[in-house]
Amino acid sequence: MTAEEILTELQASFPGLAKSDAQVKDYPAWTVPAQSVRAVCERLRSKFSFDYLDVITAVDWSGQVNPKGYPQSLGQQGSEAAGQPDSQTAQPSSLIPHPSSFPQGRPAAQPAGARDIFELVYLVSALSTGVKICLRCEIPRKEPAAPSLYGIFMAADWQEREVYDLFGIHFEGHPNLKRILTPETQAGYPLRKDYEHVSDRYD
Amino acid sequence: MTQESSTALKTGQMFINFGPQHPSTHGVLRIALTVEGEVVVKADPDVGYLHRGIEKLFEARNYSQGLILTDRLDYVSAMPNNLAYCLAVERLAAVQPPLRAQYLRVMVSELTRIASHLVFFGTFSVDMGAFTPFLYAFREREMILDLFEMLCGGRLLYSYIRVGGVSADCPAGWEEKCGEFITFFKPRLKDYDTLLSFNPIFKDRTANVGRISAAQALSWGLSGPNLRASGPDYDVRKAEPYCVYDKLDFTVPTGKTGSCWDRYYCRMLEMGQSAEIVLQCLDALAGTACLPAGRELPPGEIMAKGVPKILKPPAGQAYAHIEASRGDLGFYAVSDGSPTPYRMHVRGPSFLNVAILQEILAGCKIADVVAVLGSFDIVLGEVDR
Amino acid sequence: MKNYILFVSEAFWNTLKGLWVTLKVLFLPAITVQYPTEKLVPYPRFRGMLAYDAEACIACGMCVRACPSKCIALAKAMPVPQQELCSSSGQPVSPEGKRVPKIEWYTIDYGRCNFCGLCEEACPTKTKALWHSLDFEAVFSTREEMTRRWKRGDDLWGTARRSADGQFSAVADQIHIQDVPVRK
Repeated sequence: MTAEEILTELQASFPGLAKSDAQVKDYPAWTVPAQSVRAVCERLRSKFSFDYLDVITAVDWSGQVNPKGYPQSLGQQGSEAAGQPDSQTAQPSSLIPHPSSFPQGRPAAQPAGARDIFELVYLVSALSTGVKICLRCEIPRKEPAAPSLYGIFMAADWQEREVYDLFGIHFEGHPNLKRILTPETQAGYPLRKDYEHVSDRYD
Repeated sequence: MTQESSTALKTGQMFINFGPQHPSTHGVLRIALTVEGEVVVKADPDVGYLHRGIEKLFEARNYSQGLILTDRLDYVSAMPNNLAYCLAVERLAAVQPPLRAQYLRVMVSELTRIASHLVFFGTFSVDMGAFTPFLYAFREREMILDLFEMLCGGRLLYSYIRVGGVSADCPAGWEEKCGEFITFFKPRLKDYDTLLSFNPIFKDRTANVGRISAAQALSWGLSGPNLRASGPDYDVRKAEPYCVYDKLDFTVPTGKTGSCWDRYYCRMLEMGQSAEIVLQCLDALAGTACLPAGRELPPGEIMAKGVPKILKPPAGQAYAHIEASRGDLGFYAVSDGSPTPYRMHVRGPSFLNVAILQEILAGCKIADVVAVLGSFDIVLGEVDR
Repeated sequence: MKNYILFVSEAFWNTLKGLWVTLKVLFLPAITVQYPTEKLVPYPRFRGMLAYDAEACIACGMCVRACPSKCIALAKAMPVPQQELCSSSGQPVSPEGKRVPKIEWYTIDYGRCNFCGLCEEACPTKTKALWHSLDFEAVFSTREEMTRRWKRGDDLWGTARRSADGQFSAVADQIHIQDVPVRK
């Protein structure tokens, strides 16, 4: 069964499901409303033998910002020796365009500058048929939450914890949603674009 | 022991920290074990001691600089990391590397697979109390590292595979040296079997320990030899052939029970298959293998034409995954048209392989914890990123 | 009991087989290199300590931009009169009298260096001004020492910062496997 056939069959019961405008190269991508992610995955698993969850991750579409998340000393170690002109440090920030300078005419689902959303990306695959589908689901940046896939795919357990840790997206129904990679004392969510590193005793 | 003190002894659950500085955690993994006597009641792996924020660091570097970071993910087998990253970026930028580069890429990733599995073989045997195989494994690994040093100058962190190709063609004499290594290496696999694989003491220690059913393995997202030991023959090289794997002839070894010994032996068999692949690639590089009509491998053509130094892929998303030494390694790349990636997510196979520990360690004996953990062959650089 | 004896004998027999494998190796020549007295020479592409040639450098800053960990810093010298732009052999660097930019100072922080080789690849001069030598024996005892500085006239290894007073002085006690590092 190809991805298109599955999509048409699923669309009967999930009206919010649609083909995504922004393609993930080589894989069919669908957009799913946040509240039906779990139901869609459940159906995919039980009916279409999607037995493998590859990836859960998130993208913060609030636009490129000056990466203040990095320690300010980056690239300035050598300059302590003698007053080094700023132009020669070639800070990565100078390479990053302002959101307003994004090229025009991109598809609607792509960021037209900054958009106040997180996008959750799920990659599920049916190993028997080799179909891999990318589910994309947009959630607001304010109090972001999505249903957990815990129980359908156990692989969601740690990956959701990781997304929670780095993006602060709350997964409802996850039994053990706590920080996994960063310490419990971590302030803020590092992979958000507006994250700013707060100096601690390790700096 | 006197009567009084024995009655004063309390039997109950005990909490043990396994790691983070335990020699058999292969890095800095802490497993919080709750034990009752010798039996583990609850295991809670705690990761993140090696978290460097690599996904964030990608966002501050351009695409060629980001490649350097991928080496630091799975530092025992850095070549496949480079490859997966480059495939993802090449998909974003629609770059097609030349065929010679593709053969070189496959070759180095298979050599890395051998080197990585040799490290597993050595360290797993040390975990199981056998020291000799370690020395044999590292003797052979050293030869592979010499090959890599000759090829790209690095012994551990290569940055050899670049977006659009590879950084250098093989130097004079490299292919012969590589062929010599394979002829030396293939009979050694039999030695390993004699030394360890079929040793009854070793088998007793690992067979039927830490068994994972196929359904469990799939649900927890295991990949690589850990998944195949349980039965499913999912291998990205076969399922979604990248580079030139569709032109190569190899089999995917699978296990049956998903025990520690199966996971171990899957890797042993994989090394033999990798050696075969390297031989086939050598034939192709030398021009003796039949290549598609009109497609020769001219020496020196190792980079795609027209790849700019500062790569600016068009805005979009791409996912590329490969069969790395430890399993299904994927890169989810998002570009916004600027020279730096907007977002780069790494699906580290070890990260998911560690997650299942909380389920299968419960009920194990404490001594088996080391066996189970060792058999997963995790690298914490990839778990913590 | 019978099973137990069978197992023990099988294990014993297999141990003997394993010992036979090790016995075969016993008579082969040793592969160990007695390191401090014997030294392996790395292959020409080996990425060891960075060596820098201040005379060849044109202070373009390509290496600074290429470095992923920003460990290189440099300062361009002010344009100098023609006489000073002579190499040590007395030959003018550019016969047409064109002004070749030169460096004022150049630092590499080895504590940050990835040894990835991107800087060397980026170097546009014909004979690379910056390249990975074959030297793998750099030892630092403090973080300050990890910063090396070159000025015009310094040798390939530059000067290291002393941890005591922060001043730069010649690298004294570094051992090199070869006197002249390989230039690629």
